[in-house]
Amino acid sequence: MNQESYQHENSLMHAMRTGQWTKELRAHVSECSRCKETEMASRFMNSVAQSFNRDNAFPDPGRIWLKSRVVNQDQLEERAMSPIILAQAAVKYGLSAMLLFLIVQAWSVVEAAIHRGLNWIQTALLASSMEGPLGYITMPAFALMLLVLLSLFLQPRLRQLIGI
Amino acid sequence: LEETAFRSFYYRTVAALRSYLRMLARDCSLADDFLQESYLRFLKAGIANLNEFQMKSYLYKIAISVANDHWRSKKRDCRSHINCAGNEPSINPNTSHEIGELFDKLDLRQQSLLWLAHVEGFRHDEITKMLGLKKQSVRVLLFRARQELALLLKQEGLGPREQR
Repeated sequence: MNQESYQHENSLMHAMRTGQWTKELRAHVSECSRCKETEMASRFMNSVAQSFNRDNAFPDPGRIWLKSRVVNQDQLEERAMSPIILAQAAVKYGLSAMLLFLIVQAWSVVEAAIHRGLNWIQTALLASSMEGPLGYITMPAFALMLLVLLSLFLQPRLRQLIGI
Repeated sequence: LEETAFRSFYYRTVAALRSYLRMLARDCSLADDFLQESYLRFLKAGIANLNEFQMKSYLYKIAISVANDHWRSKKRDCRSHINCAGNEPSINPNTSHEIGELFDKLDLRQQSLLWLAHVEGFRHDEITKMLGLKKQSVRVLLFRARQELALLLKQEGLGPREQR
C-alpha cells in the first residue's frame, strides 16, 4: 500500500464521516478498487455499529463522578496515612529490638530473676503436693518465648488470625 | 476535569464507546461494567490539556485495557484478547443475524481495527497506541482486514460490483 493510496484512504474516510465529497474524490473512488474496498468496509462497519447501538439507556454519569470522588478520597487518605503507619511500625520494631538487646546484654540478671520466680512457683507447687515440671530455662528459649509474645502484641493481624 | 465538563464529554462519547465494548465483550452487562470502569479510570487519571479527540482516544485506550485486564484476570483463552489474532467466530446476539454472522468471520483484532478506523475514525498512530501494535503493522493489518471483509462481502453477493 503506497503513500498516495493511504492519502486517498484518509480523504475517503473523512468524506464518509462528514458527507463532504469532492468531485475528484468521487471520480477517484469510482475507478480505484482499493478505495472501493475502503468505502465498502466503512459502510459495512457503520451498519455493524448501528446494530450494536440499540438502546439509549446509559449509566448515570453523576454516579460515575461520585464514585470516582470516593475512590480519590480513599486514595488521598491512604496516602496521607502511610507515613504515620510507617512511623508506627518503625517505633514498634525499634522498641522490640531494643528490649531484646537489653535482655541479652543483662542476661545474668534476667536469668537470676527468672530462676527466683521459678523456684518460688516450684516451692508453691510442692507445698500443695503437686509435681512441678519447671526446672531451669535457657536464654534462647526465653528469648523465643519473649519474641512470640512481642509479635502477638505488635501484630494486630497476627492477633486477629489467632483470635486474641 | 470538572463535573459539568465530564458530563458533557460522557454524553458525547458514551453511545459509541458502549457499542464498541458490546462488540468486544459480546455481553451487554459486561460491556456496561467495562464502560463504567473505563470512565472511572479516565477520571482517576486526571488528564489535563488534551483536546476532545485526544481525550476520546485516551478513553478508548483505557477501555481496551479494561477489557484485556478482565480477560486476563479470568484467565480466559488467548483468543479472547484483542491483540491475539485467529479467534474463532462467534455469533453476536445483539447484531442482526446476517451482518453479525459476516462480521464474526473476522477475528477480534480485525474487528477492532476496522471499528476503530472506520466507525470511530481514529488515525493509525492512535490505533497503534490503543492496541499496542507497531504503526507500520496497523496499516498492513487494516489493509488485510479490509481485503478480507471485501472478500466476505463479495462471497455474500454484497461486493462493490453488485452494489453499483
